[in-house]
Amino acid sequence: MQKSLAFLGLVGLVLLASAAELNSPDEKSRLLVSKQLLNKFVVESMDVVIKYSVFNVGNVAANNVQLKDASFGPDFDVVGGQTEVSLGRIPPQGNVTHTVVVRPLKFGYYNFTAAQVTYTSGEDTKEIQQGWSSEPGEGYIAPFREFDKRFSPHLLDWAAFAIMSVPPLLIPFLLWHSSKAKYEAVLLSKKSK
Amino acid sequence: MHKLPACLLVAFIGIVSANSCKEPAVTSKSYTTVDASVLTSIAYLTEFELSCGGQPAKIPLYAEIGGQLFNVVRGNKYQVSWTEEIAKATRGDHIVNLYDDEGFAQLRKSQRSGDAPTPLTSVVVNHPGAYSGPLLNSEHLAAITGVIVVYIAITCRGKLLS
Repeated sequence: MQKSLAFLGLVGLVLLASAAELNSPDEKSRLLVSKQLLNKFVVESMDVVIKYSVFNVGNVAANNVQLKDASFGPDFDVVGGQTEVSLGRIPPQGNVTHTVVVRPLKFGYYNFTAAQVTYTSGEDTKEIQQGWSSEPGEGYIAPFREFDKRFSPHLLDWAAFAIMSVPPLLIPFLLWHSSKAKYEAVLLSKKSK
Repeated sequence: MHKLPACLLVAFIGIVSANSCKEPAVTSKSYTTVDASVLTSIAYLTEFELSCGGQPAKIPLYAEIGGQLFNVVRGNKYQVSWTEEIAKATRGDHIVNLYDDEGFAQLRKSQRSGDAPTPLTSVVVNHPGAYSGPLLNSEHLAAITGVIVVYIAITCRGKLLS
């Protein structure tokens, strides 16, 4: 009898613990960070727009949010924006975006890796949480020459084509014109006689 | 006995006056993407430094652009950035109104009531429009020119034969 009571008590405790867990929601801020490339093509020495979106899906504000993207080495030129910034405070269910524009200096395959995010959850915790953004993954940086070959208006090439197609048109026309002028001269002299 | 609260009050006033920025001045550098042939969205960025009465300031700022609220991030400089789809991107000056904590609270209130508070200062981002390829492809232009030449030649021939 005592044993079964003890067992029931134990079951009750476990249930209570799980109920307590259910009742007190997880008081934490959780950040989801996406890193996106807003490009159709990534081309050497042309703009690459990188957008970071930070969402707080937790139920407490995230404080002192720092975003750091150390993935752009010497092969990239940062033309706009900063790669290491403080986003301040993000309220629960809030979101913040940040944009950086870089230009790749070399072509070939490149692995776009994640950015790092650090933050503290809530107002009074000192513990620094760390997270990583999504990774855009490996992409091909096309050489500028290849891109130019495919998409430039080729004005010079077409101008050369136009110049080359002028002689085959102009030479027969001039021959015809000179013979016509001669014939007309003969006709005129006959008429005048 | 009453000295301590008085000290605290002085310190508090000091903090408040440090937060409200007198004679704000900004030096900004803006960047927008102007070659849209490889992009899906236009990026607008402005980086700026704020000084209050000649002293460089590091106060939290908030931005409002065309009725929308944006965050101002802080690295070595302040930065406001946003993106727009190419079709929706608008040319010309985009005015970024900057607010401090107090101004931002007023702004949020005013969004419900109507009248907007005057911003601390503002920054202008100019977007001259983006190039997204030629209006008429050169191969099409060449084909049209060819057709015109053929038409002229045929009409001339017709006239001569008749």
